[in-house]
Amino acid sequence: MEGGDWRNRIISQLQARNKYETAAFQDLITFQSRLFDNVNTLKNENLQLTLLNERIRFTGTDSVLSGTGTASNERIQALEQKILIQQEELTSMHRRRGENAQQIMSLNEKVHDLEKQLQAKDIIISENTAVIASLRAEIQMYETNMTELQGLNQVLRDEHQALQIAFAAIEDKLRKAQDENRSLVERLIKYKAKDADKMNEENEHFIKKKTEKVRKELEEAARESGSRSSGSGSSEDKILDSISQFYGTLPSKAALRFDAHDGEVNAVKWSPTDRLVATGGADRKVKLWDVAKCVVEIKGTLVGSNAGVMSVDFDSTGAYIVGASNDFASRVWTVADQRLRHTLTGHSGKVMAAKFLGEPTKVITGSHDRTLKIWDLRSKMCTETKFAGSSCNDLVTSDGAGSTIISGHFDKRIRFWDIRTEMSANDIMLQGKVTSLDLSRDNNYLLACVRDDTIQLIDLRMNTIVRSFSHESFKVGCDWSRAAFGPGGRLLSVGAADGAAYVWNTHSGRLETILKDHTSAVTAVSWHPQSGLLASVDRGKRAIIWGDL
Amino acid sequence: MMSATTITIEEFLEAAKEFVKKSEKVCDGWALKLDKTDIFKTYIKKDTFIECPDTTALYKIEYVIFYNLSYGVPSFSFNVWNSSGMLITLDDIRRMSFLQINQKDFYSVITQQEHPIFQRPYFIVHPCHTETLLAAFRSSSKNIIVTFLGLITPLIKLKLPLEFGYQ
Amino acid sequence: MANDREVLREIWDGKLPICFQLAQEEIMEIQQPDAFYVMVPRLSYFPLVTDKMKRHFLRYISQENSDSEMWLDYNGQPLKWHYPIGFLYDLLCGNDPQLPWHLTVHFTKFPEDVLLHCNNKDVVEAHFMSTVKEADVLKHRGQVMSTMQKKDHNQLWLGLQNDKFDQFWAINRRLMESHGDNEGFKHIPIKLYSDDGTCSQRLVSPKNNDGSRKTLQQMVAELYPDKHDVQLRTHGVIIPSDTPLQWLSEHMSYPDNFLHLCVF
Repeated sequence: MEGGDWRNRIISQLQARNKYETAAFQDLITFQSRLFDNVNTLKNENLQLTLLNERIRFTGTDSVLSGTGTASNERIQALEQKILIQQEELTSMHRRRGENAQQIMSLNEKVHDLEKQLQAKDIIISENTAVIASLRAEIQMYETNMTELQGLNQVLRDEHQALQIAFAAIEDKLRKAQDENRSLVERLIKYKAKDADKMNEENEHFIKKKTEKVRKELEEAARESGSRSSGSGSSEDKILDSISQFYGTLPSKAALRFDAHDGEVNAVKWSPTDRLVATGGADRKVKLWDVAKCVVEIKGTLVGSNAGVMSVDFDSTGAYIVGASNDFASRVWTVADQRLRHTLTGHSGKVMAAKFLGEPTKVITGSHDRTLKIWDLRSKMCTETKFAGSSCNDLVTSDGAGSTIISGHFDKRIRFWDIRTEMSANDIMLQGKVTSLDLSRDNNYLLACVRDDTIQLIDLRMNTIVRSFSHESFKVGCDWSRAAFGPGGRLLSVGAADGAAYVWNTHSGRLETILKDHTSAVTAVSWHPQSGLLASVDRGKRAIIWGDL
Repeated sequence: MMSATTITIEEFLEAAKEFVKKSEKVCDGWALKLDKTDIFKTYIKKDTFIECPDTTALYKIEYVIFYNLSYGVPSFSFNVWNSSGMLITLDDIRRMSFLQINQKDFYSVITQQEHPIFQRPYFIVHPCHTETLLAAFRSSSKNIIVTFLGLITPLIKLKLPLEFGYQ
Repeated sequence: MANDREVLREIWDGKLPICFQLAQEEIMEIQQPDAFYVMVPRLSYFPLVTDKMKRHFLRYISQENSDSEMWLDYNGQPLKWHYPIGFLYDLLCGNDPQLPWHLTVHFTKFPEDVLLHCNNKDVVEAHFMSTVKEADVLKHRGQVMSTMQKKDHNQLWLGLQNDKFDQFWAINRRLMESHGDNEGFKHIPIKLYSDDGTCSQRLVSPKNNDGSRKTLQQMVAELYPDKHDVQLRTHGVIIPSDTPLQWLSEHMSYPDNFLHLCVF
């Protein structure tokens, strides 16, 4: 017998076919045909019996009467019974056959449905396996990702640690470097201080040597020359003269004498630019005098005040001049054309001092009404009022901008003002009324003339009195007696009640010279900023220019 | 294959072409129908009318000669329609034939079959007899179809003009 | 030699459930006739299995048609009785099996341009026997049939008619033997049918040019060189393409000794 895969396939197909086609229907159809046959035979029987029945009925009376009679009747009845039973059976057979046919159809349907369900389930299964495969792949991917990330993480941690160590080391280094730096800076400061000290020492040494030399020369000179009489006539004066010669700035003789005003002359000021001097008097005028040509020429008269002028001041350019007057107002004139520019009214008392504040657009005035006022010349209005609490006799402005104002008062106090504040920032108490103030050119020293017949020199940096100048014959002339620093700040001079101008050395404190020529008390003095000329005015109309013209 | 009892399809075609040429010469009405796709489905055909002598009824006959693949011989088939367009029965044909044959023998020779070429019922002459008859005349026959028809015609009222026998 | 008894038996035992119904227009009785169900052998022919059915339906038709020839149709298509029942089913319903197979019975308007007449069983027998002879001519040049006696022919027919496997195969066995020195038939008796029912017959040898056994696939390649994926069906099964043709012809021919294959 031949074999092979093809034979098996053929056999299996044939078996399936027979199962599907034959076996499935064999029994049903056999049964059905049996029923069918039964029905037919029954139908036939039925037919025959009906015919027989008919025949018997029609021809029956004869055969019935012919003897069979009751027997045949009974037979007929029995047959009729049989017919009924058969008919019932027949109907039930019919019914059963119908039911079977129904069954066949419903079974067919069921088979179809089951097949469809199987197909659907197969599809779902294949879909699910696909999903499972893809999910597994995803899981794989995530696991590899995770291990990668863990590796990265570990690397980062290691790096971090290394960086931490490096950082600690560097921090250490930094600290050490900072310490080194500090120690180096300290050493540097020490060395610099040492250097400064050395410099100071050297300077002092040098100065000492110089003074020694000078003294030696002086002693020589003193021994050589006889006494000289000029002005005061004491040996001290000679020395002072020589000193002044040496210095070159100490005036010794009166160069010019003239009558300045028709009354008391209260104020005198040199112009910062040329050899112009301004004087203010009780005759309500401010006069300008030109001393360039070794003779005094009246340059101009500035009018406008309604009462005596107590103080005059030039601005830093020398173009404007301000005069403070007893008529409670101050006035600003232009020097060149001598015209009145501004009138500053507002005080309720005599204006004792007026000064330009830095630029020639601001003026500050101090008055007997116990206030200081700052005026803006552009708007011609008082921009600020400072309440001092006491009549102001004099005031000075420090540094070019005028940010600090120092005022001297009737109540023996010197008040320091910051231009921005209303209240005084500081004050110094003195032994008497402050009659005038002057500021050295380097703004470090303040000169205060006090009614107790002393001049106080105040170091502004340390806010203390460094020196006091006085003389037995020195008496302050009036409540507004003006003292002034010399150029360079080495000298100071003040007018006295006896008509003399006293000149001190600010460094040594020694009285350098006494310039006596006035007949009445000297009210104010002023140094020329460059040439060392001194101007003084007294109560008796007189003005004197001291020095070499 | 060259054998005594069978002919090849090529021989059949040759003979068929010759036969048709002769038919055209004598206007006997045979036509050759060549099938290009399947050479075995080539046949020759003739449509004609005959009159039954007894009944004076007119019949339409269609004769088809084709090549029998299994037996390797020419096969003869025909259909007969009466005047109302209906196919007549085999029995009617038997009665119409020239020879008096009884039913049983007749049926063993001519039967109604499905025509291999037309797939329709045709009366076909059984090939095995053809085989035997042809075996006798194979070598001497000039045109196998003419020989073949010559043997058939007694059975069916088919006129075969003598001209076919000529060259 | 057809000695694979299992295959032969499976083929022989194939039966189809048929449901016959009388054509509506021919019903003359008030009562509708019941449909007639019957299991018919695949290898048989319709005229052999329809007696009882015919008697059943005769009662319901008009009397004048009671002598006319009965014919069957499936889905409007007349059934050619000279094809085996199983083959008809495969041809018409092979792709769409529906069981029971519903057929309509007619007694009028016989389609004589399509169907052969079949008045009695003798016609069927004559047709069957001539087909068997034709197959024998192809296989053995007709030698087996000619050496058989009349009673053997009868036994062959009766075995088929009465569904008797052993009776039939006692004779048919001889027709399946190979003769001579070459194993196998001279030609394979084979009829190929396409979907529309057209039949083509070819001379097919069971051996290749090199002498090896030809398989179904090789035959398909010969006969349909430009078609691909050709599958052949018979007896309701698809034949594997590596089946040897000789074996196929011995075991899966129909009783008429021909292989009837549907090509699709």
